[in-house]
Amino acid sequence: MPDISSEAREILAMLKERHNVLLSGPPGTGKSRLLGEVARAFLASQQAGPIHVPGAPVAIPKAPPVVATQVMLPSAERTDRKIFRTVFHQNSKHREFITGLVPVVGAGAQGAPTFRVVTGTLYTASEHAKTSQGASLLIIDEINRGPAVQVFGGSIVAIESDKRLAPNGQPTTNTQVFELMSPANGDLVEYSLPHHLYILAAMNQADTSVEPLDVAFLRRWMPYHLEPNESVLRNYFGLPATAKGVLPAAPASAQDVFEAATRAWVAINERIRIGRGAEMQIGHGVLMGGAQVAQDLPGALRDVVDSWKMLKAHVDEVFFGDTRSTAATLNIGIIEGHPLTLVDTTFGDEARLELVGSGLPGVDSIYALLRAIAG
Amino acid sequence: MPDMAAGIKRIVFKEIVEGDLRKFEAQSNDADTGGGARDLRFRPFEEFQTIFSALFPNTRIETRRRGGAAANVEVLVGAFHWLDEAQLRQSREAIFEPPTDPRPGEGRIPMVHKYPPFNRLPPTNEGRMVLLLIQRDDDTVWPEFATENSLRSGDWAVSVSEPILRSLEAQRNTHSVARGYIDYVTGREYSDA
Repeated sequence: MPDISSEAREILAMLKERHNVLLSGPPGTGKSRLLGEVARAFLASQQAGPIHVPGAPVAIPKAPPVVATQVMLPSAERTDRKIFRTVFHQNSKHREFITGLVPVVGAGAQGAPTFRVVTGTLYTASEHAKTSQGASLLIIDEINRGPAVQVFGGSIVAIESDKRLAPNGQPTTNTQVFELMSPANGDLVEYSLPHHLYILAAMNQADTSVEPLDVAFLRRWMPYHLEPNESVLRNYFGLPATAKGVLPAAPASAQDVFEAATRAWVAINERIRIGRGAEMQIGHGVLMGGAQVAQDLPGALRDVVDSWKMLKAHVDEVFFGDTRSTAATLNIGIIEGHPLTLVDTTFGDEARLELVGSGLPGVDSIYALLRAIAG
Repeated sequence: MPDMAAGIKRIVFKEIVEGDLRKFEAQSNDADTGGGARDLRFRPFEEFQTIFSALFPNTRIETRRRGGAAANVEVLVGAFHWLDEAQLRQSREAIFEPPTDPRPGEGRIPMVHKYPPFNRLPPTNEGRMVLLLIQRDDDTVWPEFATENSLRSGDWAVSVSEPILRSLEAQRNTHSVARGYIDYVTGREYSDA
């Protein structure tokens, strides 16, 4: 198994014990990265690619540096390991997840329409995990963007860890059965989920176009929450571990620009947390867009201008229609010399507030804006 | 720093000799031609330009003297990454330049003494020394060193140590050093031998 992050190790351990893990967190906190990392680790026994361990005496070791990780690998003894992926959306259907009927146009006698049974992602992953050496990791992204309770249907109780089949495939006294349509003949048959099937789902609680998940559904999952993490950003940009001193009036280096951007991001998140709730914050990924960190001042300014567009769009969405809260989040009116101002105006006979100077800043003005937001 | 471990896309390797070590220490080079001091050179240029285009994905026009006059040349631009003593990630721009007049056929990374990882040399009593420029899954490039003894110890990933040892063991003239690359994405390997 390749060496992996502590977060991925925790999730693997949770999958091994509880079978179903629900990953949540604001956008940009690394959910997608973590899903991919857990998937790669799950397939570890099939991976032959070398792993770079920076600063180690052997930079590309033969054996995984953390052998103990193997202990955390679900169904480690199984060699035929597969990843199954799906993304829920508003039109996700039970038949696309378990089994069900779909029409087949023109396939019947004399071109008449007929039906056939299709197998969905959960069923396919389950059948693989029932083979002699099979182990399946089913990854469901955006689980709350679709009607999850309907999609799972009768399988929702059967996914629970203690209601699966035993590791040898035999039912136990606790094994839960549910009915599904047999792919062989379309009959309703009783079905149980295997021990060697693991489900890792991810969701973003802050999205506006999501379906609510009820408590009965949620309690069948082991929760794992990701938070915006300043230290990840500081490590990424090569900044000191904590903010020190006052930001200079003008940037002298790329480091100054990234320090201002990091402080502004921290300040914005803190204000969002107070104004709208922690789940509406934005993750560190919003500032980590480029493949490489710019080393020169112009490059750093260009990078943060791009990041600012996404950061500002998030603030606008969170406080949509609430100009005063947007202004408070951007620290407008608190310190002198802020590039943006909040002014009273009118629309017809009605009083309105307007942010003046809120056009997208360029490389010449972004630093002053970030510095003002950081406060 | 186990959480920093990552998969690898490509490795460029080059045997490091006495003259290179002096470049890392900013003590010029052995040649009396005047050019190329503190440059790390890769021959043949065309072969290494291909792999460096993947390591350093951006380009920039720089002014250099060619044929006695100022000329615009296109250089490949990327960055080297490393962990400092506090285990914090650091990086600095790095470039790969086309050949100079005195050394046609050689691409080069200039000013190698500017990068701290080039000064973290392995012990000199462990056989020949090899520089590795490792491009990770996230496309960042990290300089590391290996020694011949270490590569033969069995501690290194076989998919890394075998191609490099094959290159070290190949017959070549006394003025040539082992060099090449391994591209794990395309499966292509190149060695001068």
